[in-house]
Amino acid sequence: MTDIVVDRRARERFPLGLWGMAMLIATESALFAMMIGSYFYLRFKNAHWPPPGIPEPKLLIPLILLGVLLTTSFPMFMAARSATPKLWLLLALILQSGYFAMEVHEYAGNLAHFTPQDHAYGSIYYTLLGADHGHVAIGLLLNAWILWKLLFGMTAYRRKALRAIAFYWHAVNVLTLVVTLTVLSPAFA
Amino acid sequence: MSIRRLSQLQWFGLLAGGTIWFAEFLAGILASQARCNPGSAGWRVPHDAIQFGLMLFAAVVVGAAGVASAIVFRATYEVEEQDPPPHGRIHFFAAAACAGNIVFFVIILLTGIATIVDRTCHQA
Amino acid sequence: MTTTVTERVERLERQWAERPGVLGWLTTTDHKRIGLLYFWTTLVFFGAGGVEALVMRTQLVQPNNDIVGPEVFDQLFTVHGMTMIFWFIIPMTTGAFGNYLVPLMVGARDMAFPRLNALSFWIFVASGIFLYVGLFSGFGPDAGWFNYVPLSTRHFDPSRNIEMYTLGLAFNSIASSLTAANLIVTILKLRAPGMSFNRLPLFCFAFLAASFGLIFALPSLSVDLLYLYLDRNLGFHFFDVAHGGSTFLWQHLFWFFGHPEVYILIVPAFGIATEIIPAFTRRKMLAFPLVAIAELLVVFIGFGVWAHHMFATGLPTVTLVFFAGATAMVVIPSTIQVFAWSMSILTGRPRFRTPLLFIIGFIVMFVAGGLTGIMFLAIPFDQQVTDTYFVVAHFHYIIFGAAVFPIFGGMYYWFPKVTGKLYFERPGQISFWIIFVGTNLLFFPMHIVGLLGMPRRVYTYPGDMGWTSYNLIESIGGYVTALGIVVLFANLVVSYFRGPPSGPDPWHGPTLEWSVPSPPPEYNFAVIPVVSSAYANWDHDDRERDGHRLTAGVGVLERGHEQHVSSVVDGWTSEIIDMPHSSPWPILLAASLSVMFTLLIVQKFVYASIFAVLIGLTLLGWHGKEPQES
Repeated sequence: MTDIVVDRRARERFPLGLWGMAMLIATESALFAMMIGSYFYLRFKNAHWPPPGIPEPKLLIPLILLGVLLTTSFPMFMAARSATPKLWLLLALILQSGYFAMEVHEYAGNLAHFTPQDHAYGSIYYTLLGADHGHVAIGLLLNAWILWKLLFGMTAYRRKALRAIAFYWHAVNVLTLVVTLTVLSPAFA
Repeated sequence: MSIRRLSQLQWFGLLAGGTIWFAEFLAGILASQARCNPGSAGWRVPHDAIQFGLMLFAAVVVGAAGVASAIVFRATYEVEEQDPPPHGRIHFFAAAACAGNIVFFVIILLTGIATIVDRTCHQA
Repeated sequence: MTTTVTERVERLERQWAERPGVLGWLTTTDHKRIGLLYFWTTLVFFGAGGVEALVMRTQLVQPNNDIVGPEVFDQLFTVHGMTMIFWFIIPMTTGAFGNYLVPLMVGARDMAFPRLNALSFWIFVASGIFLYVGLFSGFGPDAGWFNYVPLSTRHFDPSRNIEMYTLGLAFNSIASSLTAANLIVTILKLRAPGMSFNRLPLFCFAFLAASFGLIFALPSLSVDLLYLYLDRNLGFHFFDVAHGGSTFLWQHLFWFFGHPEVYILIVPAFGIATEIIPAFTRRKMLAFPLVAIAELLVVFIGFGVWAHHMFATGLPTVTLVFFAGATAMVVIPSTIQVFAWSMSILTGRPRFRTPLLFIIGFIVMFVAGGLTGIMFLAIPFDQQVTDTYFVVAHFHYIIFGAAVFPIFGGMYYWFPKVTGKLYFERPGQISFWIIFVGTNLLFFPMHIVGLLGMPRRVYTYPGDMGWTSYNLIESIGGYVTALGIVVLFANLVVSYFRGPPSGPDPWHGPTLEWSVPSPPPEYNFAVIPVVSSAYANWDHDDRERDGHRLTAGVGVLERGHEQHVSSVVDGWTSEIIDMPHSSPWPILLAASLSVMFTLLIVQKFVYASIFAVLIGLTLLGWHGKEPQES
């Protein structure tokens, strides 16, 4: 009994899960676009940004941390297509967790100097960064989950999950780049 | 013209117009807000010049997209809209893009001229 | 060994059989069942919103009335607006019509993500519970459906009312986003072989456009709600001018969502109209590519007009003219469609049955509402009529005329497909005329009374303004409309029990749902159809060839819970996949999420974190069983 034959002309073969992830990334990107828009909107409304009493953001540590996170796109890319994904995943997870821990430390440290309740500057700063860190945290959970699953072996489903999670991380890295440059922008101008 | 070339032109015609309009639109609003808001008024951005440049650039791109759609439409003139892909699909999108690009072109001209001619930072 | 057609179909029936009883409904992932669940739930909310409207019209029937006081009236108009938009029209179009019909129209057996579909429904139910428990406990939102700051800040509205607004809408927008994502991937990837983009039914173009709109617009509302929650509860200053914030920020974010939202309201209804017209005029839609792109364009350009809701706020004109210009041109795609519909009716062979009557009524009211809409793009005119009943007239002509009329028409049109019975035609036509007369009596005088200066959102008015007789007519119109709606639903209910059997295709409809039995079997299509036009049910040769393939056992896909996947642009077959079947995880996840959010609102953080862990466990369970490899 013959059945439906795959058409050679169907070049694009992304699994449905990847399309679902694309939808999530589209909506989350819109979310961040709105928050970044809010940042610049509030900035245009204020003659002094940051307002007097709040220090300008420091550049060195945040930019180094950003660089570390951006490099993790490479192990995620490799994990999605290599025969030994667990090692690449572990490497990525270590770097991403290190990034996250340092960022939480920086976040808490900044709270000692200025709070979101002081001025709209703090409100948007901590909300925008907090949202970004939240997305990184979810990425960590996703990586931990797929790593644990892979300890029981590889299946076609897990391969697709790896691709979807790698896609998620590439998007988070790009978003983090934009968010970091945005919150550091007063120091550039 | 090869199918590959036709398909590329069709996609350019369909997507470039909308994309560039939206980008120009946001940039234009941003420029007007930058000129007129207290936090950024000090920068004294050259509002009219920027708007003119944006309008020109966007109009050129949308014009090119319109031309591309028209070329593809004429090249697939004998194709019916329900014909099998890829020709049917190409003709369909080309027809659609011709209409879309006209609309985008007019918006760009209307908004560009209006924002330049208007009194800068006059409150509504 | 050869298997017969009967054996193959029996195998399909076994594979796709639903669990019996209530448990079956609670764990269903079948798009038709979920569509029906959405249908009945949204009708309950429609009734609630209608009652709210009737109470308001009763209060306004004469000057200086005292049926309800201002605090209650504030809650009534707020909750009426929220209910009708977020709990009736969006879930009725995308959740009920979209879920039920889109897979059938593209030749699929279910939506792309069946469990996500179920999750979306249960989260939607939770969102409605939040809003209405709030209302009935006396905490109904009361700052208008657009909830402007500073009125909605802690300083001016200290009660829990606004938290009900925030929570209800946040949950509702999650549900809508999930449905939108599901519709997009279904329309792009699950099309039948041969269904390239130029052969996609116009209904699906409309739903694709609305879904993209939801994906990109809802985050703006979510961000706005988050800022408001933080300002009200944690002392943030997003909207607080004294501390560097901006009250405009709320408006920009709200309307960046809010304007695409109103196109999202009407575009699916355009899709309904664009299917009913070919069926009842027995001709294909004129200017097919232009109508298809118009449906996409109206939503796309609609993202660029948001500040026309802010023409009276004192923004610089150099900014506002961008929005005026885009508003002027967003009319063009709608006009293209109106011409295509009208000319198709005039050049076809119309059968003036109830569905077509509702569509003609829709065109009339949409044109009227559209004309007043164009008037608003003139900034000076807008500044005169903003916040008057003229605006109320405009958007009710559009919402009732352009969204609700096609929904009613669609209910009649697809009633035979969903129930297997025919509705009674005479009462159907009578219900149309009563509703048409009623809505015009109700909403037309609002134009006049608005131009005479009557403001919106007032709970009463003095007797010497010259508004009294118009308000009386409007209230009468409200009751007439309600009567018509009662007749409509009474007709559908009686027809369900007493109507004659309809067979699979009583209208000789153009699209694929008419090629399967009424109601459709769980698996929709016994054999995956191969299509060569957007009017697949009118291609009799193709449908005959489907029959031959069924006999030969090609494309029946009965070895598992199987579904055909195609390439995005040209519809080439790309793989066969195994789909999930009924599952308890969606309802469990929705319940855990709801409880966790409730605990967060009442600030019981320890209990909330317990439920966060439960949510994590549910997600693990959801992804525990992997699909079979094919």
